[in-house]
Amino acid sequence: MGLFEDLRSEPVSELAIRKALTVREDAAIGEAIPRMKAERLGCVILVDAAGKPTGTFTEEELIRLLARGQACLAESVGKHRAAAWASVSEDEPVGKVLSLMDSRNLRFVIVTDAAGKAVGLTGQKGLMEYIADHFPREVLVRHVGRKPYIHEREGA
Amino acid sequence: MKRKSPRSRRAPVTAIPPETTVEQALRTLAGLEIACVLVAREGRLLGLFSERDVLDKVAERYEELKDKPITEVMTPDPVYVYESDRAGKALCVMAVSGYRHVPVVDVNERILGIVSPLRVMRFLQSRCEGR
Repeated sequence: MGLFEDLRSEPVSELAIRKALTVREDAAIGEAIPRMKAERLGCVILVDAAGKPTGTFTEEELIRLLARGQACLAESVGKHRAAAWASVSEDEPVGKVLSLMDSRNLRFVIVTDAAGKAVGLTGQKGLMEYIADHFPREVLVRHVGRKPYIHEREGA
Repeated sequence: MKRKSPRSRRAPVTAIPPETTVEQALRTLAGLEIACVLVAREGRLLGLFSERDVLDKVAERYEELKDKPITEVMTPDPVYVYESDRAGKALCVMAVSGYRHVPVVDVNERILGIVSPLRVMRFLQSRCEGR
């Protein structure tokens, strides 16, 4: 089927789901950063005692805070959570992720199980990979710009 | 996907000179609410400074690095595409290499714009909704 049909019919579980990097709301930003770096993820998921998501803290919040100075690293992620966040369940259509990201201006969407517990994270990167899978000829790019071959993934 | 990257989806772009300090670059990202700036001299691409560079290289050493030139922490020689490349090529650079922002240059390697996942998402969503 075509991309647009698949967006409507295929479940979120077809996307590349990243690890759910969860933290308590009272965790310091300075604690979250090494974990985000280690997992190469631009987002941590704030969860309650039952593991249900209550928000996110992303690179975007980090930049806004750092612009005011490094003292922010001692403050809690819960205090500086993202203004908007969203979750989808694994069996909802991929198109819902696209719709949420567009309407709420999000880079990440939390993936939850049937009980509402955070089980993963997807977003722009997962969707790019999904879309690229629909254009295999384009993926066979041998030469891009000055770099003849891409050796490893980078998050920039 | 044979359509070339339309101008509306690769511009505008924010570029800063290589002498810009880390603090100034960070304030640019925060002030403009953007995820990436290009580092350029006279219209030629030198590097790229993104949210991921902040997380990986700057966040834990901000006080030490804030007065350093951006060239010390930027991603040098980023992967880019030419304006004549198919849109799918930029998309696949994002998917395969993991670079979320892909500069677009002309045949003389002068910066024309940037393709970001956000712009691709908006394009796709508009097509899904028949906008």
